[in-house]
This record gives sequence, structure tokens and C-alpha cells, in this order.
Amino acid sequence: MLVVVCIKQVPDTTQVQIDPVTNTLVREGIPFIANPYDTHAMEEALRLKDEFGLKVVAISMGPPNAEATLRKTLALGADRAILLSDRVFGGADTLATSNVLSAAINKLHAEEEVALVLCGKQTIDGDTAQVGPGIATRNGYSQLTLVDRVDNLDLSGKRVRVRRKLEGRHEIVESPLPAMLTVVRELNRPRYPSVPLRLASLEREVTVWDNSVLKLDVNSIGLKGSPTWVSRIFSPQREKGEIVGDGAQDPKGTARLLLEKLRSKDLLPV
Amino acid sequence: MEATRELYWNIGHGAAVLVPMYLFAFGAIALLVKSGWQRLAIYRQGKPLNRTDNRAARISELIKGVLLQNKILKVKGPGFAHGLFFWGFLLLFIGTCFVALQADFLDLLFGIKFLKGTFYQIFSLVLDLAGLVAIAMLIGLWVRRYLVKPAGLETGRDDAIMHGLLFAILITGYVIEGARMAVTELPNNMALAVWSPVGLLFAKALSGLGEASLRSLHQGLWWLHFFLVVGFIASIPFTKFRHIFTTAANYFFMDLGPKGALVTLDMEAEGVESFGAAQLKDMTWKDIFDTDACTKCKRCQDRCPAHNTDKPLSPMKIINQMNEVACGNPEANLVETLSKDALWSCTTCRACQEICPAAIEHVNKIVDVRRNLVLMEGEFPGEEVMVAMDNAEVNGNPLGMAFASRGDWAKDLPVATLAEDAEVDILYFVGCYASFDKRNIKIASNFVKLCAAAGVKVGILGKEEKCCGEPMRKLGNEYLYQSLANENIETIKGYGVKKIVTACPHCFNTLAKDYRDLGFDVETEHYTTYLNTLVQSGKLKLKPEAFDCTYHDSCYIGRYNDLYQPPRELLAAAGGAIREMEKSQAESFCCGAGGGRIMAEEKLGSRISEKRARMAADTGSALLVSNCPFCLTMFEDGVKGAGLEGELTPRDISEILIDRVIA
Ligand code: SF4
Ligand code: SF4
Repeated sequence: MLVVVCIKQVPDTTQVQIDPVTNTLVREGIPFIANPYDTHAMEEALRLKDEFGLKVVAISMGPPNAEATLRKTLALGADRAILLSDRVFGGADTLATSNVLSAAINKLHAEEEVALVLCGKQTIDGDTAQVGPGIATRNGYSQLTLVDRVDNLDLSGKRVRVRRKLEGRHEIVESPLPAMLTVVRELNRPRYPSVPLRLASLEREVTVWDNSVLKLDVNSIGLKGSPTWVSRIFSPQREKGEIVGDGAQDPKGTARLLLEKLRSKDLLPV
Repeated sequence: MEATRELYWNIGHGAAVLVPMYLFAFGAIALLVKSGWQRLAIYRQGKPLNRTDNRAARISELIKGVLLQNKILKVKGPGFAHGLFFWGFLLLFIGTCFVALQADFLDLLFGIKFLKGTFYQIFSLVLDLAGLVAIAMLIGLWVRRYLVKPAGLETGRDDAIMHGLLFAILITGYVIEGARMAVTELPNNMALAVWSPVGLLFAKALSGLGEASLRSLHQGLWWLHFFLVVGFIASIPFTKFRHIFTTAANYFFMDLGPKGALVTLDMEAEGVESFGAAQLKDMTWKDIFDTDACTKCKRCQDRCPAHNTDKPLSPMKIINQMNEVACGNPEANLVETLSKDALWSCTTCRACQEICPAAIEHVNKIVDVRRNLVLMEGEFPGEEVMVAMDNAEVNGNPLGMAFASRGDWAKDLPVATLAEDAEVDILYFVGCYASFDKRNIKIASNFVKLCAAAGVKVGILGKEEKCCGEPMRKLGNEYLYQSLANENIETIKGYGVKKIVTACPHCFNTLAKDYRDLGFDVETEHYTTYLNTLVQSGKLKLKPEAFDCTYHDSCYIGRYNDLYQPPRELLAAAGGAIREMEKSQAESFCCGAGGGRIMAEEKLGSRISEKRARMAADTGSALLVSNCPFCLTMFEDGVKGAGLEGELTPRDISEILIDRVIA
């Protein structure tokens, strides 16, 4: 049985800036990394491989250079890595992306049963958190988002029990397989690749599937299949703060000043 | 009457004496050789390593180490006691050989006698005094070990046997001499007796016993003395006496440099599936031999910054645990035996190795096991270190800064990248901290300005520069080190650079030495020596202004490269008067950042940097000057942590110079 991990190659966004003129991300001089949430999905898949003997398949839709990121999954211990790459896939929004990924997962399922699909909870460049659920919906899988613990995986009974990390509370959910899980960072600590595996990964193949393999309707994929249009990307400018009074010298007076200020801005009831 | 004495007096020199005597002596020697031979099997568990090249240098080290006791004498007190004891005992050994040579060979076979006349008188005097010195030193060492009991000195069965045997051998020697002299020289040859002053004292003390008792005392003790010596020889393989041979041999097998070099792993070697040392057999025979040369003198442990701040690392313990593994349990897992916490605590400061009187190499062993942890298991001392490794892999620096902004610090300075202008006098290899860290960017800009003032045209690599890989390497990540190093090497070679200067001792040591194994040969200097040359030659002019400071020798400029004077000369040229810390130069105490520890949180024990800051404050100076971005970073924290803010200010040498440069 397979556990499929969806990986996205993203720019290392801690340093990303937005070009004020073109409204696009400046990618020059920014290295690519695996989406950090996805690395936790990858780790969980490897853990399940160690525990249950599942086969780990890493898939990614992206340009040809995303091969580097997939190769790293081989270095970590993935059994197979598949790059979904074709010009017609380009310019996809989350809907078109999930169409391609779903089709690829279905194709894998036809070869060997898929038990789980693991995704990061969202990507750090798009932040939509839509692709994982999109795959689950399209493939009719159980949808378990924001997983921070996999409590039980019963392969013969075809059930999985997980804990979801929600605002202020946890939720324990059990559902039938196949299931799609999106995962949060608390789930695990990704491993560091050992050198023998890393060296071996350099020799291994990253399979490329283009649309001649997936045979999707070009109107459902890529730019054409994407109903989302981005009108502008920008970083919201934060107004400069001001220092009110002198808290060290006159704490009471300063507190009063602050209250007045907040009330005048309608931030506190009068 | 010619001065001489009857050898084997009162013992007899017939077959009844010589046959059993030589049988026992050779028996003991045979046991020694046989045990030594068997021990070779223990060393042979290790991998091959050539330590018999360059014989002349090796023999010279052997002579210096053994006959001159040069390493032992580096520590006064017990070092001198050992040295004097050794020379005393050695003379007695040589004297005994002379006696056997004349009595049992030359005289017996050819009738040749040389122990006579003036030579015999001097011979007697020298041996008599040698014994006295040996006994005095032995008593001193005994008092130290058994009464003073210095902290950390382990005393066990071996020490009791060794002290007991040696003392008994020396004392019985004098009593035998005294008994003989009481019968022979005391009554009728005082002229000769005075050449053995200590023996004479014993003779006088014994003279009341009467000849018959003296003779039987002499004979009994003579055989006792003989059997004690036989016991001594036979016990060598089974006690720390072993070091007489193993430590001596270790001088011959010594690492002849370059100082502190680690073995560069061939990551792509055919058929190699394991990296680093998981078990003893993954180390070299020399690593195992080292463990047999240790005398448990604890000098290494006394100087270890990790040990001194209550971390679970003692270099002595590492060596001794490995010895137990080698002798008793060769299959043992080294990580489990030595413990991860101990292994990760090492700052590779080299204080242990520099002082070790047995020329044992500690650091490479620790790194070897770390290599196994990192390269095979993907383990690090903490999450933060793994993040730093990933950062270095992705962005070429462990700090997680965008690689493209590496040259941003130099925007408004008189320096261009080699991509813009490759015609430069020197390439300044900036390093990660001086490129990105706010505090250390000052050092980079100071260096560039100082060079400009001296008329030197400097270039940098800007975003093409990568971390030199040193912290990764010392933490065991040889793979990442080599990939970073190879990228740097290719870039630098591409520009045809002739000379490199670094402001970071870690970059310096790595480029100047470690990169050599990867086919890099560009001359590399640290900025302290480079600027010192500029100052001494008058190219860089300073207006000296008197100030008072203390100076911290960084491990990688100090112990690793023996550059103790150039930085001090620079400070003197700037008008500095240095109040030396108690631990300085080769004895300097690490700041805590080496060995990749700069990337790791210091969770165990107390802070090394705070301890060092206190040592600096103890000099009474308000300025702690260092030469390394890691040291500076550590001391900024250490001064705060030790509550010394306002009392002690950490400074880099370049900050002193920039205030005094004449443009
Ligand atoms: S390793 Fe060297 S310095 Fe340390 S205890 Fe042994 S002999 Fe002494
Ligand atoms: S190198 Fe320094 S930190 Fe490491 S064991 Fe030796 S003395 Fe201790």
C-alpha cells in the first residue's frame, strides 16, 4: 500500500520581497526549498513506512527544476518520486493544481492501493490551504486537516485515527481509508538525510509525468483551468507607532494617556 | 690503591648465582615481550594509517619526548618531579647495565674492567645522587597523589603497585650498598666511601650490626632487590608502567601536522557504506594505540572548557573509555559508551591535545564519532543545529540569511566584488558572521578601511561566497563541509586569486589547511598577521594611543596555528599594554564557540563564555580584545551573563586599530 506525499517547491520566503512595480514576488537570488509544512508530511510518511512498511511516493507539480526538491525526498528515504511537469500545467491556481495531483494519485492507485495522501497544511508562498482538501474532494477521500498526531493506522480494518489541532482545542477523529491528511509542524521533527541514502539518491530516477501520461482535459488544468485571477500582491504597510508618555517616570499618567488614545480611536468602549 | 669495588661482593659469581639470575631476568623480559606482542592484536583492530614516514622527525620527537621529557615539563610541579625521577632512574638503570656488562661479559670473557679509577669514583657519585633525587621525587609525587589529592586525579591499584615497587627498589638499593660499605669501605677505604655519600650514611647507620649480620642482610636484600626488579619488568604490561613503552612509542608515531588536520573523507569511494566511527574498528590503529599511552595524568581534563563548566565531557575519560572498549569489548557502540552529551560538548579547542604529555590525539576521535552520528544517523546536538545545517545548505550560511544579501554590508565601502573587478591585491574572505551579524559587520568594514588606508586593493566574493564549512565539519557533517568547500574553491580558482586574507580564525584554518586536501593552494593569511606585516613595514600607519587591555588567544589562531605574537605586536603598535590572563597563549581557555558549538545552544552546565569573561575581568582590565568573530559574539553574551556589563567591554583588534589609523 502506498502513502503519497504532496510536496511543493517554494522560494525560501523569509527573504522574499515584492516588486512594487510589477506586483510580483522577486525571486532573483532566492533559493528554493521544499515547503516547510510538506517536510513534516514527508517525515510522517517515512515514519509510517518504518512502522507499517508502507511505500512512500513523493509527488510534486512544478517546473523541471523542482526535480531537486523531489530528489531530496529520495535522499530521505522515499521509494519513488514523481514530478508532474508540463507546460500545460503552468499558471495553475489551487483548483487546477488539485486536478493534476488528483489524477496522478488516481493513476498511482491503479498500480497499487493508496492508503493515505499527506500534504502540508498550506504552502508558505500561497498560504491558501486548499490543494489538500481539493485532492480529497476530487478523489472522494476522507479529509483530515491540521493533523498534529496520527494515533492509529489500521491497514486491515482500513481506518485511521488522528488528532487535529484546532484553535484552543484538539479533536480526535477517526475515519476510513483512503484518507487525505494535512499536517502541522507539531506533528514530528523531520529527519536529516544520511549520507549513504543521499549519495544513492543522486543515482536514482525522478519520474516525470507530463500530460501525455495523465491525459487531462487542457481546459481543466494550467492557466485555462484556473478561475482565480491575482489582481495585486502587496505587503501591507504598517504605520509607524508612537511612544506615549514616559512609563518609567510617570506610569499612572502614561496609562491614562494610553486609555484616552485608545478610546479616541474607538478601540476601547468609552 | 685504585678506586674500584668487587662486583657481586658477598653474592658470588658462579653458575649458582648467574644461572637463576639470568633465567629470571630473561623470563621477565620474555613475559614483557610476549604481552606486548599480544597487545599488538588490540591495536591491529584499527584501520591502517601511515605513521612511520618522515623517520628523522619522528626520531627527534622520540628523543625530545623521552630523554628531554619536553612534553612532561610543560607543567611545572609534577612535570619536574616526573622528569627528575625519570633521569635519576634512567641513570641507575644505565649504571646497573654497566655493572652487568663488566662483571658478566667483558671481565668474564675478556678480562676487561672499566669500572675503576676516576671513572668509578664519578660513576659512584652520580648513581648515588641519582638514587637520592629519584627517591625525593617519588616521595613528592606520593605526597601529591595520596595526601594532597588534586581534584580529578584517579588513584587505583596501579598507582599503589607502581609507587610501592619503585620505592622498594630504590630503598633496598641503598641498604644493600650501605651494608656492603659498612663491611668493606667504612673500616679501611674512606677515600672511596666519600664518593657514595648517601650510601655512606646508610653504612654508618648499619655499622653497629657486626659483619656476619651485615653479610646476611646484604645477601638477603640483594636477592630481594633483584626480585623486585624482576617484578617491575614483569608488571610493565599489566600496569600503567606500560607507558614507559607506549608513551615513548607514541612520540615516534606523533601527528606531525599540519596541526589539527582531520582526515578528509572520500565521500564517493567505491563500496564505502559507512562513514565515521561507530565502533572501534572504524578508527585507526593509532587511535587505539593512543588510548594505551594515556597515563591518566588528567592534564587534558584540567584544561577542558567543557569539563570546567560542568559538562559531561572529559577528554581523559574519552580516552580511557575507548581503552576499555579496545581491551575488553571491541564490539561496543562508541556513541553509547562515550555518550552523546559528552561528544557534542567538545569545542575542538585543542587544549587537551596541546598539553597531553603522551602526544595523544583527542579531537579527531571525537569528530570521528560525531561524523558517524551526523552522516549515518542524521543526528545533531539540537534542533537548532539541524536548522543551521539546512540553512547552510540552502543559503550558504548557518544564520538563515538570504545568500544574495551576503555582500550587502560592503555597499558603501571601498571594496568591490571580484565579479565586478578581479584585479585585486587580496581577496578578503569575509565569512558568515562578518557578512551578516550586526556586531561583526563592523569588523569587516574596519578591515576593508584599514586595507584602504594601507593602499591595499581588496576584493570580496559577495553573494558568491559560501560558508567555509568549518562549524559543519567540526560537528561531523563532512558531506556539507565538502560541498560548501568545493563551491568556494571553484569560485576562488575561477578568479585566479593569488592571496586571501580572512578575519575569522575558523575560515583561516580551514582555507589555509583543510582545503589543501581538496586541491586548493591559494596562500591564506589571518588579518592579524597580515595587518601586522603592514604595520611593521610602515604601510599601515598608526598613531599609538596608550591603553590597557587583556587579550584572548582564540583557539584557531593560537593553539592551531601558534600565532601568539603577531596579534600582541599589533596591540603594542597601537599603544596597548596587555595584562595577561592566567590562562593565555597555549593555555588559553576557549570562548565556547568552536567545534560548531556556535550553532548550538549551550544547555548543559554553566556558560563557557561567562567563565572566560570572568577570567578577563580578573586581570583588572576593562577591555577584552580578541581576534575572532565567534569569540566576539560569545564574549558579548558572556559579559552580560557574568554581570560584567560596564566593567568589561569586548573588542576586536580591528576596532582598536581603526581608532588609531592614520589615513
Ligand atoms: S590523555 Fe594525555 S593529558 Fe589526558 S590523562 Fe591521558 S596522558 Fe594525560
Ligand atoms: S578539544 Fe577542548 S573541549 Fe574538546 S575535549 Fe579537548 S579540551 Fe575539551
